[in-house]
Amino acid sequence: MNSNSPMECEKDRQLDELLNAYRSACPDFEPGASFMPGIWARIDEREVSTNWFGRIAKTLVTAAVAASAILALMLSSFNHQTFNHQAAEFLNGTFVEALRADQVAELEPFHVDHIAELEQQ
Amino acid sequence: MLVEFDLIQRAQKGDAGAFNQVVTAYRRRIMGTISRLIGRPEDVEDVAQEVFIRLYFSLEQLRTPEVFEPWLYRLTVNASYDYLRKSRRRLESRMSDLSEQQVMMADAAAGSRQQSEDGEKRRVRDQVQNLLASVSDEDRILLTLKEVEGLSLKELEKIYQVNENALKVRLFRARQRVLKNMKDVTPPLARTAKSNDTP
Repeated sequence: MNSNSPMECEKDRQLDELLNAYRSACPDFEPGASFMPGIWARIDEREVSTNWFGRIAKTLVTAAVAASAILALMLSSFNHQTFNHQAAEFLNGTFVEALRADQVAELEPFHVDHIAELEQQ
Repeated sequence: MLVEFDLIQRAQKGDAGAFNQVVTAYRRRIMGTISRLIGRPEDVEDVAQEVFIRLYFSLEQLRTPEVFEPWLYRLTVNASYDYLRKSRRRLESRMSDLSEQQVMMADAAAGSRQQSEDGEKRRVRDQVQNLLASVSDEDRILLTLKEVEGLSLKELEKIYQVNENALKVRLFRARQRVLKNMKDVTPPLARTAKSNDTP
């Protein structure tokens, strides 16, 4: 990394010199009278806008929570009603009806027409 | 450190007077750094205000006194980056709005301002700023912090949050890129000596 030619070393030295001279060539900055009041004015401005955004965000979060709670309540009452209806049917039916209802689901994929066609062949 | 940690702790607790003292202690140093990072004196105060505003809003996160200064430098570097990004966009749109004649008039006005300043210092500033403008913002800021501001590698480690070896490599590469663009730069001291010799 450091195996530079004499010309490169000279350039390197010139750059160092230039950067050192640059530091002293830069003027010192004296802040104006409005520097501190300006900072506080901008801080206040940001605090106001942050509070405004905060309030909006809070309102939105509250509304979202309320909507979720309402939806959850609606869903749970709907499920409850459906479940009650199915449970009542099951409990009120006879043992034979319950068995039939259970077997209908298993028999459904078979089609009588198809079996008849097969028999004809 | 330019202030006691106790003062920073008071500022953290919302003491406006303590915060004012912290700003007063650091403002000249920070403004000097910003002027060398962005190269536009007219906007230094604005960027410095932004640095201290960011400090105000992030002060409560500070836990140890050792990291205060590197942290302040980090805020300075970030605010300077943001400014450079914004001003580049602004300049592009502004220049596209101006006619050729208006651009020439703006150049002439800037030229006459330059003449009124101290010649040699102005020349060095222009030379370095032109040289550093030929590399990326990242290279320029890193080199300025190390070579002009005189920050140590340890301090830079805290600012950039990378290890020393990675920093050395980045510095070496940044320097190489600057050297590549440094063709017809006359060393300032040699020039000064030459100008002193002439009657």
